[in-house]
Amino acid sequence: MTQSPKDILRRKFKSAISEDDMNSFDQYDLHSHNPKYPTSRQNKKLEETSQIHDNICQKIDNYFSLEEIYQSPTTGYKFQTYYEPPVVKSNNTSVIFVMHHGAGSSAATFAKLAYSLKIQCELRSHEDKPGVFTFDMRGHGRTGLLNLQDQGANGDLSIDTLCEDFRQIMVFLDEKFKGQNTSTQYFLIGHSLGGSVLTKFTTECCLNNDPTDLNGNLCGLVMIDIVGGTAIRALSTMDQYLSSVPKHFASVKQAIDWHLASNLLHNHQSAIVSVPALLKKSQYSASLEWIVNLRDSSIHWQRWFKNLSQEFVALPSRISRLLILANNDSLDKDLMIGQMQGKYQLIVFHNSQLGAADPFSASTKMMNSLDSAILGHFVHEDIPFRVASSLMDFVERNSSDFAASGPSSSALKSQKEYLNAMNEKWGVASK
Amino acid sequence: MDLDSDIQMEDAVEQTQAEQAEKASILSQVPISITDPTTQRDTLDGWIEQLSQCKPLSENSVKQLCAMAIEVVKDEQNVQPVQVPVTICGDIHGQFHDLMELFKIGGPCPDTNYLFMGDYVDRGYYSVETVSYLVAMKIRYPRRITILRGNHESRQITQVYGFYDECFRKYGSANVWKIFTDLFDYFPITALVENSIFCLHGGLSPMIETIDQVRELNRIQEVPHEGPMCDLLWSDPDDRGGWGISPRGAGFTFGQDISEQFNHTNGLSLVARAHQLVMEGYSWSHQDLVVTIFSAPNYCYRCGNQAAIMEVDENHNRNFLQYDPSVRPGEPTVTRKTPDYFL
Repeated sequence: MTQSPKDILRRKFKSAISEDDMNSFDQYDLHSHNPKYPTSRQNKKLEETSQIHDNICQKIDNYFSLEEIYQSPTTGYKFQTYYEPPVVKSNNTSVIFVMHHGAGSSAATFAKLAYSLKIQCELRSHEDKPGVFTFDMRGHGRTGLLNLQDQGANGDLSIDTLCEDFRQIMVFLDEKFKGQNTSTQYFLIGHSLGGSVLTKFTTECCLNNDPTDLNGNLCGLVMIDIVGGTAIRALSTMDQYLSSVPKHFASVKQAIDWHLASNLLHNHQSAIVSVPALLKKSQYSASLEWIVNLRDSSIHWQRWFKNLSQEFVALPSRISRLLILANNDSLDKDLMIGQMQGKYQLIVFHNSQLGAADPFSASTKMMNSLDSAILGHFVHEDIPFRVASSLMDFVERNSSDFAASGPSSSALKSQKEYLNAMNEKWGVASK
Repeated sequence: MDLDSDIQMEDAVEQTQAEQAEKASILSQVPISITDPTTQRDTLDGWIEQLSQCKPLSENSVKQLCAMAIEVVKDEQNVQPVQVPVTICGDIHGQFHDLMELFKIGGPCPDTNYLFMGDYVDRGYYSVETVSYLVAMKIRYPRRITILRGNHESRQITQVYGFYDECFRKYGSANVWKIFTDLFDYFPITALVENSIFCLHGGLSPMIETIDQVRELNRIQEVPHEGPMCDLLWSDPDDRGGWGISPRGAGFTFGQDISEQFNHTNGLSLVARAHQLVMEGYSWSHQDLVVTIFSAPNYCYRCGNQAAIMEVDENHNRNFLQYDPSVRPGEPTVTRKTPDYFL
C-alpha cells in the first residue's frame, strides 16, 4: 500500500481538510516521515466531514487543540483563547506565535495561517514546531458573545484597554510555561489594529521593564498590512465604506459570498472559516448580523494608529521586526526611513504578473493552491501558505536557538551557531 | 582588464582606431532600427540627448543599448579598479531629476569621473530613464564612469519595489524589464579606488576576509539569497562589535572590530558604501573606517533627507558635496492610493 501525502495529512490534522488543500500538497515529498497508516474507516469519516464543511463552513475549533476561556482577574471580562502547543524535541527553547487580529475580525482569521505553519514545519522537516496562541479580542468573535450582557465593556475599544487586555492574556499564556525546563521565545503577530496593539505593548514592555518579566522572552514582532500614516489618511473613507456593508445576511453562505464578491477576501478556503466567526443570529429575525458594529468604535480610531510607525521603528534592535504588506509598499515617512536604514525586514506580496516572487529568494516559488492568486488586506487569509513560509523564515533567522534542522541544512544548526563560528573565525567577540 | 594597462582615455571621442572598429563591430551585432517609432534616432549620442530630457528610449533601442552595455561591463572585474580623481555616489532610485542635479553639483561627465555604487531603480518615478541614461553614459565613456550593482539591481527586488511595474506601464510589457535585469547580472559588484578605498553597495561579508576572495566570486548571476555576493550588496555597519544578524532579512551587520581587521588586512584607508538612508547624505562610522553615501535627496519624495556625493581628488583628499531635491515645476504630485479598509 502506497501512502499518499494526503493520507498523512488527514491523519495528522484533525481539521476537515478540503480536497483543494490536499491537492496542493501532492507536489511535496512527505515520505521522510513515518506515520502509521490511517485506517480506511477513519479516512472515510474525514472525507465525509470534509465534504459537509466544504459546502457550508468550518469551525475554528478544527485548527486548535486547546480552547480556554480566560477571565480577567481585575475586571471579570472573559476572553476566548485558542492554543496549539509547541513541539519541543531537539532543544530547550519553545517558540510561540502569539497572534492578535484586527478590528471587525476574529481569531478565526488566523486558522488557515496556523494550519499552514504546521505544514511548513512538515515540509522543512523541523523536529521542533512553534506553538500558536490567539484569542478573540474585546467585543469580537466568541469573546463578544461571552460578554453579551456587558455591552459597555464589549465596546471599550480604546488602544489603552486593548493593550492592557493583551498584557493580561500574555501573563495567562506565560503561566503555562512556568516551572518547565524550557525557555520560551514569543513572536508576536498582529494584523492591522492587532499590529498596533502589539507594537504599543512591546514598546511599553521595553520601556517599563515590565514586571511580568515577559520582556526578555519577546523575540520578534510582525505587523501584517498596517501602515500608521496610511491608515490615518484612510479614516476619512471609512464612513463611506461602512455604509456599503450589509447589516444582515440571510445565511452564512450569503455572507461568505459577499466577502468574496466585495474583494475583502479572496480565498474561499479561508473565508469558510473566518466569516462564520463574525456573525451571530439576529434577535429580531431569522437572519445573521455582525457581532461587532465597527461604527460604534469610531471615537477610538484616531488613537489606534497614532505614532504607530515611529514606535515600530524605534523599538530596540533585539526585537526583530517584520512588516508584511499586501500589494504596495505605501510606507509612511517613518517606516520608509526605517526601512532604508535597515531597521526591520519588509516583505511585500503582490498580485504580480510574474506569480509568487519571494523578495529575498533566488528562485520564484510556484503558487500553492492553498493560496489565492489574488490578495488584499487579509493577506494571511488570501495566501496563508506563503505568509507561513515567511514567518518560518523569520523565526529561523531571528530566533537564537530555533534549529534549522532540515535535511538540506549544513552541520551548523542555527543562526546563533553560525554567527559564533564566524566571529570565532574573525577572532572577535560575539554580540 | 589589468590594472596597469588601464590607461584612462581623455574622452571616448579620442578612441584609437582599433577601439572604434571594436565598437563598430559591437554595434553591427545588433540590428539598428532606422525608424525608431519613439525617437527617430539610432545613435548613442542621440539616445543620450533624448534621455537627458527624461524621455525613455524605444524598446528596440533599449535592446540595442543593453546588448552594447553587456559588451562593455562583462569584462570588468568583480573588483573594478578605479583611479583618482573620482566622485563617488550612492543610491539614486529612479529620481532622474535629482541625478541631473547631481551632475550639475559634481560637474558634467566626462569632465568629472564618476563611480556609482548601485540602486539606480525602484521607488522613484523614473527608474527607466535613470538606468537607461547611466548605462548609455557608461557605454559612451566606459573609463570615465563606473556603475556597480546594488541590491535593487535584481529580478526579485524590482518586481516588488516599482521597476517592473514602471517598465510594464511605459512599454506595455515586461520585455524592457527583462532586458535590463539580464544586463544587471553583468554589473561589477565592487570597485577599488587606487588600492585604497573599497567601494560597494552594502558592506562586508563574514565569508570575505581579503579582496582577492571577491575576485574569485562568479558574479554573473541573479543576486543570491545568501552567501558572500548577497552580503556585499546587503550588509550594514553596526555600533555593536562582531558579526550580527541583519534586521533586513539578508546580509549581516558588522562592527568596528570587523572593519578595522578588513581594512588592515587589505591595506585600505576606507570602505565607501551606500544602501542606507542617512539624513545628511553622508555619514561616517567605525571611526572613519567606513562612510555611507546616499544620493537620493528627499528619498521617495517624502523622507526629507539631504543627498551627498564624495569627491576624491588626485591627492586622495575627500570632499563631500551635499544637495537638496531639484526644483522642477510640473512634477507629478505624490498621489498615494488610500485603501478602502484597514482595520
